Amino acid sequence: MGENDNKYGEYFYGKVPASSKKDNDSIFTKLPENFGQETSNSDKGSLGSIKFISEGKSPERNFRKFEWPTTANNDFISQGASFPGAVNESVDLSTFSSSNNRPNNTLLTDQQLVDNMANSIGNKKRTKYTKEEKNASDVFRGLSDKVIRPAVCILVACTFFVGYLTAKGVSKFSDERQIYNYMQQYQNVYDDNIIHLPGASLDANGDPYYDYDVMGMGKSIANAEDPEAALYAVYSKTDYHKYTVTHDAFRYAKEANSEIFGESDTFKDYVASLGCLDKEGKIDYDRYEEVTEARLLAKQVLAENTSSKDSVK
Amino acid sequence: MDKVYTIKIDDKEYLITDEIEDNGKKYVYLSYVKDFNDFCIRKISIEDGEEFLIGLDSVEEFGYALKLFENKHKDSLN
Repeated sequence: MGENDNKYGEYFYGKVPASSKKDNDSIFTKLPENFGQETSNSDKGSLGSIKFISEGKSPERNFRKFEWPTTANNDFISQGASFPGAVNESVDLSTFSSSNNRPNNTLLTDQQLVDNMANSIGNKKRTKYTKEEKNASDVFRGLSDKVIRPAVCILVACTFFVGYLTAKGVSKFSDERQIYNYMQQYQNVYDDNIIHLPGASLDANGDPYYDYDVMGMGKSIANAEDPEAALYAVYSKTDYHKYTVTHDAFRYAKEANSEIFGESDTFKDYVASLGCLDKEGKIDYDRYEEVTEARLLAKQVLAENTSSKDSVK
Repeated sequence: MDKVYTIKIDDKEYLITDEIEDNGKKYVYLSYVKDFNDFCIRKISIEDGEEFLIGLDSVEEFGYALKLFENKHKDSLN
């Protein structure tokens, strides 16, 4: 292990795809052209009377932040917005009475947009549509502001994705092409870590047995712009001992950078976090592929939207 | 007492925020009751007279479903 580290470590670090993201990326570069035109401040957008605030260049900048309105001038609340599923639920103005009382959960990150989109288009599981009727107070625990928030959160996604799709022309989209383009960026995580050793081990069929520098792959994943995509490149392109290689590459990636993949210590933990275990608690690899490809596609949409906005400027 | 409808998917309880019919398809907008930033859109498939929720087919369909939702509700928020 140590020898491989010395031999390949720096080399493979150098092969990691360069970041294409720009430092000044902001969620607001991804919004439709007409976003925010209701306000006189060019740094702000609005969704009705709900305002979005640009968060500058802090590491947490890529989110949309709602500025919940106060009761003093609030058409949104005074009109008593009502949505199906929350029929005739009254709005308790006291929950909006000051900025100190804003609902805690008002941020929608890029990652959440990706997750929501992936959850919508990547899920092939059939669920019997059985509605359960409940008292609103049982679901919302008396917090009537929550009645509005589901629709607001979806509308944020509307503002983002629909504006983008309209601007691009949806006919230009091809899921396969998008995923392919995205994966190309990470192909070398796999390609650069294939070792063609003289007399490499062969299995009973005469095929190469273990022809990869898995540790190198792990380090490349750890240093990739998008570790999730890099990991999937390893998984999807490995032919022999696919699962072993992927699990090991994940482990080496975590050793190289414990910050990636959140709290998942193993590949199985990570797959579980994506909701891709079967009923017996085993990894459902087909589901992992579906979910991951949907997630990568969503990221591609986000990335392309950013670049198209930059090109307009 | 006001009523709402929920459904469990993968042991997560979702609020049925809306249902929208369009061109013979019905889209269902679901919000996780513990975190409304976590939502998803499904559509209904009828098999042997029973309704099932299935995922959307593509980014285009996701955008289209969002557009339906936006068209229906934007006036309520303005």
